[in-house]
Amino acid sequence: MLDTLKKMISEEFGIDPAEIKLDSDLRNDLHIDSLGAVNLSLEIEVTYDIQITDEELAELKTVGNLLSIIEAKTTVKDTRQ
Amino acid sequence: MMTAPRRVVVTGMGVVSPIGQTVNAFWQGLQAGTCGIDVITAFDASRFKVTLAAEVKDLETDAYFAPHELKRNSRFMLFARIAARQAYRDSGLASSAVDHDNLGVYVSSSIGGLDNLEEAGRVLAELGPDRVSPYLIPTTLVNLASGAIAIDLRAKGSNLAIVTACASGANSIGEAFHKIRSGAEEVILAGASDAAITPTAIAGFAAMRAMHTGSDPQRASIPFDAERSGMVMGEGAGVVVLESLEQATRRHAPIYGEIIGYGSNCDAYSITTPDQEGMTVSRAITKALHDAGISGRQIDYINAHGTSTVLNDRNETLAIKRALGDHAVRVPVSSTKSMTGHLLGAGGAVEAIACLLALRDGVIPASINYRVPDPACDLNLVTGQSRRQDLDIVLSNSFGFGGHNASLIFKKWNSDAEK
Repeated sequence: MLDTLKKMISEEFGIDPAEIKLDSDLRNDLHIDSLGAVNLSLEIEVTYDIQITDEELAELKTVGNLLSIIEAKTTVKDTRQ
Repeated sequence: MMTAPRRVVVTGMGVVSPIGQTVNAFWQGLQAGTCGIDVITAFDASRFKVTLAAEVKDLETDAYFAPHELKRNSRFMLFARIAARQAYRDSGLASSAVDHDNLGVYVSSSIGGLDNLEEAGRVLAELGPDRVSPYLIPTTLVNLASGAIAIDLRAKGSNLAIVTACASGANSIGEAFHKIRSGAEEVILAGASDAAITPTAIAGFAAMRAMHTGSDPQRASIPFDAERSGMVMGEGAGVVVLESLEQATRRHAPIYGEIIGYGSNCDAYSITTPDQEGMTVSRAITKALHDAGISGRQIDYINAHGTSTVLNDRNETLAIKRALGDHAVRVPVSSTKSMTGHLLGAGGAVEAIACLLALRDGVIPASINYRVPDPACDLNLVTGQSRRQDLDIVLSNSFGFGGHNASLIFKKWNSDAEK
């Protein structure tokens, strides 16, 4: 899942996947602006068929935070199935 | 004691057009009489009455953008940013110690990011509002060409988007000229960009009966021809670097020509139909002549608005006659829209560049594919092939829906005479 996320971030923002780490700060390390973060979350929602709330988006800091949200929501979905 | 007004020169140019994606390619295309009109490939136009357009094919983005940047732009923004970077590089500003806090940008558009707006409409209808891209608004707004160029060039000076439909490019250049002449600014990148070969725009212009509906590209955009029946949509961008002569001289900038006159006004008559007697347009030309301090007899060439619509070309003929008197039937006239199609707001910008190149090289680009004279358009048209002729002063006209009229006057730059 982390590799998929790295690939999405890499393609969306033209960042070398090697530079994308769990503790990478989206804004300060990867220089992703607010619109970029919104668009990334939209693509994640479509890819994983999940919903990311505005509150979650606002609190998002690192790649690890994003991964946790995806994992939590896809696990919930799996449990329901 | 009165001081002489500041002089304003053109020190850089950039073009994206259906007949060339650099200034040199564009100029070669104009001189060779290249027709940029072909069957529409941007979308499936099989259900449309209009099947022809002058597209920018295989847009060369590699030299300017990383692949991931493309989706954060709409097509008109890409055109504008490419043309602006060409002009900036051409002017040598990049390597000059220019104050970026006073680097201005007046690059506008007639319609803006219609392509992205249409895509958002599709997403909205098919997938719902939550799937609309966050990039929609910041790629659709007309002022985003100027905004994005400012970021590219760190241009923190005056930044405007002057929107006057198909006069947008000419008005942007004219207003920038006056701003620099007044002393308020030293250097402004001015022009316009449009990318409206989209289903909605073609359908909308076709619904107005403003577009040519035939299938022969060689008889489609035929300004001033008796068989003309409407415009052909083109797309692209033109940007010029306007600069005070003092600063241009100080930094040894290349000088393509001087801008000496600008006149603008409004028909205040109809949103879409030109003032029937050409009265207001003639006054825009006269204002530009007064602004330049010259007589109409000094005009050596007119790059006409010449859209190939029945009304525009007849009206423009009347206006030129009113403004220039008996000189009107002698001065060479052509419409480069015969080659490029109608670039909407960008038209006035790329045509200003055509005028500056015509002055520099002493070549009048032709109205190509002209065949049948119209007694109502009995100007001295340069048709068929481009013509060599020394030019000193040229006029470019642009008119837009809303009744906006803009005339620009350019003068040949003779560096020897200035020494």
